[in-house]
Formats: sequence, structure tokens, C-alpha cells
Amino acid sequence: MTEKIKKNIHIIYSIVLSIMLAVAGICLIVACVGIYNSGSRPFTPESVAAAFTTIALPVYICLGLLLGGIVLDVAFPFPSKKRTPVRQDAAQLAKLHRKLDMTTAPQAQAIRKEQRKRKTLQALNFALLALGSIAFLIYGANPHNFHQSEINISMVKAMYVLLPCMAVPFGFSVYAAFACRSSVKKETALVKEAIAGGNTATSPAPTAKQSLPWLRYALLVVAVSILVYGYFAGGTNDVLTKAINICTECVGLG
Amino acid sequence: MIDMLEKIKKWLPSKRKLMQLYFALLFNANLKGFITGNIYQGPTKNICVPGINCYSCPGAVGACPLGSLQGSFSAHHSTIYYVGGILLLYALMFGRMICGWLCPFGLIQELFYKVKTPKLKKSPVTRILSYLKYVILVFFVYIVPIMYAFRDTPLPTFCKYICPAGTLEGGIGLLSNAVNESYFSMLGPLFTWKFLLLVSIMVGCCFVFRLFCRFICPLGALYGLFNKLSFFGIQVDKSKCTDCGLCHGHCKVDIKHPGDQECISCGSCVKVCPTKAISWKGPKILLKANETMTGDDPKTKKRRFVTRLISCILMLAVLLGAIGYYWAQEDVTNPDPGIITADRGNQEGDLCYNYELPIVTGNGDTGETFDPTATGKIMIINFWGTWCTPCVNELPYFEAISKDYEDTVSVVAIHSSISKETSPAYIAEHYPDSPMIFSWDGGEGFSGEYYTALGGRGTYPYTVILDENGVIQKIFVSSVTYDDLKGVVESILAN
Repeated sequence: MTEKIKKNIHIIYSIVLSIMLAVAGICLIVACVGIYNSGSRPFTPESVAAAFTTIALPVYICLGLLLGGIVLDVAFPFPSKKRTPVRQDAAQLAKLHRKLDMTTAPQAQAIRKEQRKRKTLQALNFALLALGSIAFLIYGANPHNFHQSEINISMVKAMYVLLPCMAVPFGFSVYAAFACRSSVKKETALVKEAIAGGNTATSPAPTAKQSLPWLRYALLVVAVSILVYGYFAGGTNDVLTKAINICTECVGLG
Repeated sequence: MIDMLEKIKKWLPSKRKLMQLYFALLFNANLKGFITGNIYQGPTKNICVPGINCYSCPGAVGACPLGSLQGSFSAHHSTIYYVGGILLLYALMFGRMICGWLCPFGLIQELFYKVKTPKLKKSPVTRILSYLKYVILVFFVYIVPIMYAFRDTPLPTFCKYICPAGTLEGGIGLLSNAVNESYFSMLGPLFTWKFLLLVSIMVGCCFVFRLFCRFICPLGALYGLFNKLSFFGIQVDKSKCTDCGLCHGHCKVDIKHPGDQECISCGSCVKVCPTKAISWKGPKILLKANETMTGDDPKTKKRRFVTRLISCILMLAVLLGAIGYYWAQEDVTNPDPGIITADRGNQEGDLCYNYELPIVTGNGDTGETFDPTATGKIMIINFWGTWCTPCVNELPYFEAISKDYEDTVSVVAIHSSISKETSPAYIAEHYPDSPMIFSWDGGEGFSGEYYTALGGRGTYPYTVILDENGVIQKIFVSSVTYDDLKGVVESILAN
């Protein structure tokens, strides 16, 4: 059997498995929602099992495919794809800049424009993140937003308010990341062009930042000190209390 | 023959996988719990394990660091120091190496990733999504639990609304045992939500490498902050680095450079670095001066082999010792033989076991006792704890029912035997003139004597309702509402 056929078998297998996994996942979710909406409370193992029996087929197909994957691997072994290096555009650009004499390069203005563009994007991104974080903290610091008797409702309300606060900066960050990436590529081309034109200089490589061994040891002393204090002041009791009783909330039982 | 050996080698798990499996077993060494359906309630539960491992998992022998951290805000101030100290120590020693080598949930995710589906590669989008875990850390682990701690309500928000490890190890771990059939009655919207989240994350893990660790896990976010300071992990010698990008190509998480806050120190970059610029931080302490990890001289090789052999034997001995120790532990859910009598029981329809309960007020134990089965009224016995959020939240319903049915219903709220010393202050502050009777459970063990006798299996709150003759009419293994209580009381009165 040729490598190409082996490859195709593996590709078809992975696509079928992906689809079946997604179907099985959706079926599990639908079954779970169905049980919840059935209204036959309190639930019993029998009622839950009955609901899950209806979705047994896709789950069994998935399990069969998983086992089939092992057979496939043994029968038609196919080497995994070799990973290629990821281009380190920003690092390469920094290195190229050390070789470039900006004062004589005719592309200097275009290069600076790209740099300004990136700085503006980063500043905007930072500002949006800061605004989102401030809104987040203002909401979080207000005790009236957290009702004692309606914890679940308070959490849902918090999500309504906070999700947009997060979504906007996150969305902009994605845009900024792609824009910066293309800007770096453009600038790299410009810098390479300038260097090829003979505008070269040699600036020293930046020195590596000094690590902070003293901070490491200082924090270690702090960690051990507060741990020992907490232990002897009885801090273990509350941890033990929580851990030896089933936290029905933590495991989602209610 | 060599080909065969190569094939076998390919199928063998890597050293890292073996370590992950080892620690997953070590943190869940109470194998008996998976058979009996009970969680371990011994003293090692006061030690936080480094990775996410739900303490309500039947096999768990330690506490979950995240659950303990959230719980510590509403506990005694010393708990914050203790849990904070442990977390800081773990973070300083290992950083996110814990995620890559020690976390049981990380192992589960990696096993799902082994499924041969098309994989979603890392990109700027996944890099930005990796910051989501910091938002979750700040909001769900710090802000909300602290805000509710000010209201004397312990609320482990992350555990309650997000943690898939809790749902899988604790929730499904307990529900899958036939002994815990009664827990099905607790299931509701919360479990539905958490089950959906678990299924989504697990299916997602087949396509995205460590989806939970990279985008959601607040513990990883916390450890990541200390990655550069940690004693063990990955380090880069920048003078040797050529920015070839091979490390990035082999890394499956969203690093900018090896050893940064996203790096889980899996070590895949160490093997592929052509200039040996990437190395391990920690093992240097095991080497003598001028000795290197890759040294090929026979002396170094021999020393390395002996060190590894001794380590393997020691680790195996520790694991087997732990499994044996926890297997030999007595099951604390067995009721005290002093309370058990043949004519009484703890099931619905049984005449309830009697017990002399101490009466407790805001000033502590009054020295008086009473028997809840012999009051001549409908008796609602509620087991609660100041450390338990649902317990604290449902106490007002019990107070309301005892006020509304003052002549026919008595309510006794029995605090768990553990941390019972916290109850008088709570009673004095929140229920100084309540018609409810407060008490605390007896026994020196972790589960109270009366709680265990009435069939409690480690879940709080737990409510037992008796009729006027002391016969058990209803048992609630979960939180109750005012309407639940009223319904049972009305039906007893009607009969």
C-alpha cells in the first residue's frame, strides 16, 4: 500500500471520528438538557439511564472508532507529520534592526510609520483592556451586586454585565494581533531592503536581563513563614473540614 | 528485532506520562473509595495537593488547592496563610511544571488529545484566549468568594460554576457508585450546566491541546506568574539562542518563549533545540561541579542510572505504601454501635434512632440535652455547618417553618462535629432569638455520631423529618426550600 493511500485512510478516519465525537457530544448535551426539562424530579438512576440509553448508538460508534484507530495504527502505520519551525518574525526583525543604519536608510520613514502603527494599536489595546478591567473591578467591588439569597441570579447578572467588558478588549486584541503581525512582516521587508541597499551599522546585542535570585529566595522565606504560621495558628482545620465532607456545590450536585 | 523494539518503544508512554500517571494515582490513592463510594475522611486531607484534584473524588487523599483557597476567605484568617503559603511554595518550587507533570486533570486532557482527530493549531487567537484564565482567576477565585465571605457565606465560585475536574472526579465519581443512589435526587440546573461544560471541554480537548489548562484553569494562571522564578522548570540561555523557531514549532501551548508564563515545562523543546540553549533548571542540584546532564562519560552515566533506579524504587514504595495505608483505613461512615438498636432505623418509615443532643446557644453549650425523637411534635433534624454554603443559605427556611408552625413543628439544627466551635458565634450573630433549637453532633471523629447513624454519607446539608411518633417520614440529601419543608409538614399533618 502506498504512502498516499495510507495517508488518505488516516485523513478519512480522523474526519469521521471528529464528526462522530461532535455528534456524540451534542447528543450527550441534548440528553442532559432533556433530562432537566423532563420535569420528573427527583431524578433516579433509572430515569437518567433511560434518557442516556437513547443516545447509546453514537457513543458506541465513537468507542468503536477509537478502538478501530488502534487497529488502523497497527495495520497501516503512518508517520506523524514532522513539525516545522515557527517563524520568529519579531525576534528576526529585532536582529535585523541591529544591522540597520536608520539615519541613512531611505525607507526610514516607512519603517517608522509601521512602528508607530503598532505602538498605536498596542496603546489602544492596553487602554481597552484597562477600561474593561476597571469596569470589572468596579462591578466586583460593589457588594450590592452579590445577593446572599439569590447567588445564582447574581452570577448570571454579573455575566451579562461583565461578558461585554471582556468581549470588546478580547475582540480588539485579536484584531491588533493580526494587524501587528502583518505590520512586522511589512517592516521586515523594508528593513531587509534597506540593508541590501548598503545602509548597515553594527549596534551591540542587548544584554540579557538579570534574573532575580534574591527575589526567589525572599519569596521562599515568605512562603515558608506564612505556611508555618498558618499551620500552627490552626489553618489546617478549615481545609480539613471542607475536604472531608462532600462539597455538593463543588461537584455540581447542588 | 531492532525494528520491533522501535515499534514497541513508540507505543510505550513517555517519562512525563508515567509521572503524570504516578501522581494521579498518588493523589487518588484511596482506591477503596471507588469501591465503597465514600470519600476519604482522614488527616491527610488537610494537605493541599499541587494540581487540580477534587477533594470530593472518592479516591482523593488530599485537598484541592483551588477549593481550599476559595474556602479560606470565609474561614479563620490562619487558613489564608496556610493555603497561601502552600500555593506560594508550590509555585516557587515548580511553577507550571505542576501542570505538565503532576496535574491529574492535565493527564486526562492529554489522553483525550491522543484521539486522532484534526487538531486546532495555536494562533494569535489562542494566545489571546490564554489570558481568559487570568480573568477567571480574578473574578471567580478572588472577587466573588471574597465578596460573599464578607456576608459570612462561603462560596467556592469557580468550583461551583466552572470546575470540570470537580464534575468528573467528584460528581460523576460519586454518582457512578450504586451506594450513592440518593445523590440523584440532588441533580438540578447546576449539575446540568456543569455536565454540559464538562462534555464541551472534553470534546474540545480532542481537538485542542489542553483546552482547559490553556484557557480556563486559574491554578495554572497562578502558577504561571511564578514560572520565571521557580526552582524547577525550563530556562533559555539567550546567548546560545538563534531564534530558529524550532521550540515554537514543537510546543503545543501558547508560549512566546520557553519558560514563560504559558510554558508547562513539558520538555519537548529541550529535545529539539539545535544549540542546546534550552535546558532544565532544577536537576543541576543533582550534579557535581563541571558535570552535565548530557555527559556521556561512563562515570556520569553510572551515577545517573543509580540515581534514577533509586528514585524509581523509592517512588514505587511510596505509591504502594500509600495505597496500602488508605486501603487499611476504617470506613468512617459505619454508624456508632452505641446508637444502633434493633427496633429503630435510619430509613423512611423506620422509628428514628434516638440520641441525647446537647442544646447550644450563642453562648455555647448550655449543659442541657434533649432527644429529638421524643418531643411529641413533628421534628425537622437539619445537619449543617458554618463552612457549608447551601447549609447557611437554607437556615432561614428552617427558621420560617419553625415560626409558621410553632405549635406543631420543632426544628433542630445540628452543627457538624468538626469545626463545631465556630457555631456559637454564628448563632449569636444571625439567630440570637430564633425558635430553632441549635445543637452540635457528638463524637471525636470527622463525621458526627448522629449524622452517621441517620445515614449521612459526607454530604451537607442533610435533613431528616420525623412525625410526632419519631418515625422518619422524609430524608433530604441536599438543600431544601421552604416549599419542600412545608409540603412534607402539611402531608404529615394531613395524615
